[in-house]
Amino acid sequence: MSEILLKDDLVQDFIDTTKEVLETMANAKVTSLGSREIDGTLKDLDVTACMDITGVLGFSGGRRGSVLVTFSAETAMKFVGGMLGMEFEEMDGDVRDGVGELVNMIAGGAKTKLQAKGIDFQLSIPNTVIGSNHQITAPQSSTRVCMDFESEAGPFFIEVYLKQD
Amino acid sequence: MKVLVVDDSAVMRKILVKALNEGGHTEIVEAGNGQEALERSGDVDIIFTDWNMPVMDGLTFVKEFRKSSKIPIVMVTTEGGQKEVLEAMKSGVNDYVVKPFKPTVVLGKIESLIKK
Ligand SMILES: [Mg+2]
Repeated sequence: MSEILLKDDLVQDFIDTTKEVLETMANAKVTSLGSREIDGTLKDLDVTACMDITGVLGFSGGRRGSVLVTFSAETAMKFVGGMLGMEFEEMDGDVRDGVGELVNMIAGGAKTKLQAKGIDFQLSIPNTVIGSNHQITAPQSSTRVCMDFESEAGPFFIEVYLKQD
Repeated sequence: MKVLVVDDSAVMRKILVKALNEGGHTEIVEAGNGQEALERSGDVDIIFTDWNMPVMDGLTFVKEFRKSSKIPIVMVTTEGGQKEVLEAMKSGVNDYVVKPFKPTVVLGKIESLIKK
């Protein structure tokens, strides 16, 4: 399977799954603003300017890399609040846990769609990183695809790092 | 009737517990991984379990649990692939819910698995 086809499939599958997850679990309408590819091949300090909270999950097997979902505190609290039918005023343990479970469902759903096309991989347990304007470094020799979204809860983005084996 | 809810995400457990409560099920035991689930499954009537969890995953839990019990188990997981569903069913899972899901589906699973 060619690299190009893989990336196109991957992007569309992640966009579709993100909409499904947030619409089903948080009752939130989400719009995709498209995707952009950032080639981080030679830059080991290629950092992403982030917002307040990122859910991260690694994948291994047929492809290696990671999936990151990044929100502002306000957006994260609205989405997790939507999942639980309640309102949050601070980023407590539940908001962090909820963001982890969101990236878990997004990566898991995309995995199922990609598996059906013969691209197989395993998922790790999600982690959450918090801190205003925290930065996450892309692994060396990886391709980065960034997908931007708009929603009633605010903008957010997803990144997929694909390790170039 | 006692329900065991197993998931490493506290938020996911809350979502499931809320749906169960709204369906009139108030006797609920929670576990954050397969190991805890084995310890807390003594007198429950039905189990909803996640697959991907630290310490002991849901599939290992199901295989262990099935050595000594026949009560209904529903897997609630992001693992929606054909291969995974088949593997879970072969390991003793009775029904399957793929995340994301509308929380009320769990009530239908109880209806269909525990004949009233
Ligand atoms: Mg899990």
